[in-house]
Amino acid sequence: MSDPPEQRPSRPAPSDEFVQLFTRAQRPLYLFILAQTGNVQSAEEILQETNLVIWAKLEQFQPGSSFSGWSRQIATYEILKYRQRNRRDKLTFSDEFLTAVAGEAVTQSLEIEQRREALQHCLEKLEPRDRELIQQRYQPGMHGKELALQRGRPVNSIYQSLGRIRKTLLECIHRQLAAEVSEIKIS
Amino acid sequence: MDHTSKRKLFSLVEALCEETATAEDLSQLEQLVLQDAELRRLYLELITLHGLLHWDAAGQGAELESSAVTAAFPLTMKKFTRRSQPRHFRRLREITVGLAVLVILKLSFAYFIPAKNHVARDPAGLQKVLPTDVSSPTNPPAFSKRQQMVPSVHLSRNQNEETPSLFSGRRVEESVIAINPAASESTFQLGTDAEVIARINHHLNREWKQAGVQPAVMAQDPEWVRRVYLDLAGRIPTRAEAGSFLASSQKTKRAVLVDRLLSSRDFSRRLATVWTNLLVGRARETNVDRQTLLNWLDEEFFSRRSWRETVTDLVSARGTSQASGPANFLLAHLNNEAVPATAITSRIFLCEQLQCTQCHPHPSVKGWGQERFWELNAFFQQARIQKSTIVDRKTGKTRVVRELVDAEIFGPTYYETLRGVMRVAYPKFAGVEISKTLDESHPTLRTQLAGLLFADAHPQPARAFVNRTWNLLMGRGFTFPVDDMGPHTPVSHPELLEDLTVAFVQSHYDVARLVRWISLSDAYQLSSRPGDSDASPATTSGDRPLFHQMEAKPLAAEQLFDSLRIASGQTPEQLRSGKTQREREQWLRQFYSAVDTEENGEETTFDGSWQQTLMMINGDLVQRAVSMDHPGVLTAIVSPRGLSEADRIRQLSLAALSRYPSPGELTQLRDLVRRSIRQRVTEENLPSQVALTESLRDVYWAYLNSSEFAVNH
Repeated sequence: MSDPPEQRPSRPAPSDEFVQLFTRAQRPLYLFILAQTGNVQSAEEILQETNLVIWAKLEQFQPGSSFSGWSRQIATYEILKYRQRNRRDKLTFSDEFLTAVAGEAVTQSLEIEQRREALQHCLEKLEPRDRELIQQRYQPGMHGKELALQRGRPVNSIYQSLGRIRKTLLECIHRQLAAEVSEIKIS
Repeated sequence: MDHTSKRKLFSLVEALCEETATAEDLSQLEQLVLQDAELRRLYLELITLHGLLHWDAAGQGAELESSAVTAAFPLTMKKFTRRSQPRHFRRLREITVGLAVLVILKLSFAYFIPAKNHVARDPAGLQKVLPTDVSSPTNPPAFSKRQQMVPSVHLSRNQNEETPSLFSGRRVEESVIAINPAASESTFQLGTDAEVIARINHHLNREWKQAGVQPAVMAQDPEWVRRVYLDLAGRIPTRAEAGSFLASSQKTKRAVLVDRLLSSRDFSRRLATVWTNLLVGRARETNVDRQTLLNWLDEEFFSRRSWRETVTDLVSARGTSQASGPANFLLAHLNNEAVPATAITSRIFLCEQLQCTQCHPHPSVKGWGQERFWELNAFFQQARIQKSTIVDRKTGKTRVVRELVDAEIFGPTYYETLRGVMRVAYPKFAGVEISKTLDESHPTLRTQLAGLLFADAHPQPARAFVNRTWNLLMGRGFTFPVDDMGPHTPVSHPELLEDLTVAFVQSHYDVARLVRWISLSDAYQLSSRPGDSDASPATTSGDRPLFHQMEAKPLAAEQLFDSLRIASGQTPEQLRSGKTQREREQWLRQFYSAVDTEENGEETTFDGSWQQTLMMINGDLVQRAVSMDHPGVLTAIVSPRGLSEADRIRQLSLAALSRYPSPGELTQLRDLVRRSIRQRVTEENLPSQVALTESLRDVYWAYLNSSEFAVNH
């Protein structure tokens, strides 16, 4: 804070560009990890580990090269480490699955931003009751189970509603993305 | 790929998202994903949707993310240790824990709601119980005197005139720090208490109509009496207090009780406890004397000193931790270049979260640059902690005494921008920069600050206090979180907040009056049960609270301790004895530990691990309450002869929950007691009187461990 300048550590401060790249990579990186773990909490944990490595190695990053590619490499390694640590966990995917999904994730990573915008739009288009339910479900720490208890509804019927809403959202996103593509074609 | 496998995949991913998937599900999912490219694409789309919803928390992520990212960059890499994870996650995790607890509490509470309520919705019902004119001469004199008075405001609008600045003209840019520019100007004039209360009712009623919600039914007396004792006295009512309130048919009994509580020591101690925790936390023992601060605050609230004066003392106090109550606030937070003092002063008194501007401009508030933090920080650069060793006269031992003093020589503060440039910051607040020469009327930088905090016509400390007090009583503030009232945070009822702020300022910051307004408003009389069985139980519209139903509030640790002591038969006066206070401190200590962060935070297991709490209350405190060894509530109910079992159960229920059991509950409990007596007599060969005692102990134990006991509803 108030250290005189000469006492600052010799490490270079991250450039503004690096900070921006890092910032923009967070969401795609999270989704990349999530697809391979299937669990939001462990994905968050791995993302944190990945971020630490990214910061520790920031000098190794070549400006001009692909930041997302570089950070995905680090993430892949961190996923492996996480799996090693949690070997006993029965609920893990196989290595083949990871490879296949990672490949698909790279393909889809280009449209994450469009997907996110489409999702915002589609959330607004939901029936108010559905929107409230799905928003409640994604309150931090909330699960379908708690939601069911809170609403006094059987848990299965909550799962059913959530499934239906997610399906609606997915279809809506499809339509949105398709519409965007045709717009581009027209213009 | 056929339709069936698509549907199959969909339901498997659903199970994955809801964390109900088994190992078998996972391997099926793998097969599908590996065998078909289209299914692979679908899997990714679904999991991405789940991830986006989670990451952005259904539309609220934009703000989270921007703060996450900017907060993730420390100034220098040396600080980037494992502890400083991106704030996004830290914050998420905190919310997660908090929410989970809330959910558990709300749920378990729902189980204990007596099945039906028999009160028809009756808009006139509120009026029946509340006096139509709460400022009528029937009120205790303490209040009626004040109500006649419409105090004028003596605050100088422009402190510039009084404090010419040496540095003026050097940095003129953005000298206007607008406090809540979005807030509406209130033209409200303080009149009688009844007028303020009518104003609250008016604003909330309008919102209910607009949102198309029916307010919940009025809370019945048992629900309300327990609530008002917990909120205002920090404990449950004794059996006698609850019993006499329930038996009273006086029409104005609610207002009368509120006034009696407000003038009691219980009330001043309750607020002193809340504010001691806010000011220095529960865990810090080494650097501060919590008890001295608590006693000082207790006296402040009891003597109805204005909140403005209390804040002024807290900010500008000098003296040792043992001799000066208010000095303890800064004695606790001057460490680390007064960074905690800066962040906490802002968060506690202004409900503004400045701490992130320590290192970078505020992510979502334009104009909150780093200088805002450091200019406030500069006010604390004169303050010093002087340590001296003294010899205790009684014991002859030496001990270190910490004293808060103001230095003769002091300078501005320095900080580093995101680009690594050093900057200097001079003390400046509300657009006023302070000169280095301090005159007799403003002897120190801190006294200057105390004046500037209240420089505005509608000062932010008043608004912040109103918001905190509303939150304390209603379970939710006008902003969420309550201590983040920056321009980026939406205010649920801006006009109401402004009216209350103006009324509070014009009442000369009369804390008890503010509490009176809120606790006699219609909203405070409402039940915590939803109005309609088929209506949504949500107490909010979207994210916005409507206050059309009382929030269930988990008991704070101190409330739980005091309530269990009352339930074991201690009198309210005994709760204030030195012995009980020491026992309370000791009991609290096991739940809280200090964390040396830049905000001097603390960790607690009281919120997080409910099981642990249950273990605790199953421990000594409850044991004491259900013990027959000392005369107490239980012995008084169990020992006398000639009472029916049903009467005894009714009394136990009253003592623990301030209500009588519902007929169904009573039948069940009585059957249970009879069966267990029979069992104890026949199988364990106990004398029947002993068997009765033991069975009633069980009932009391169950009541005290119920979630209804642990929640203020």
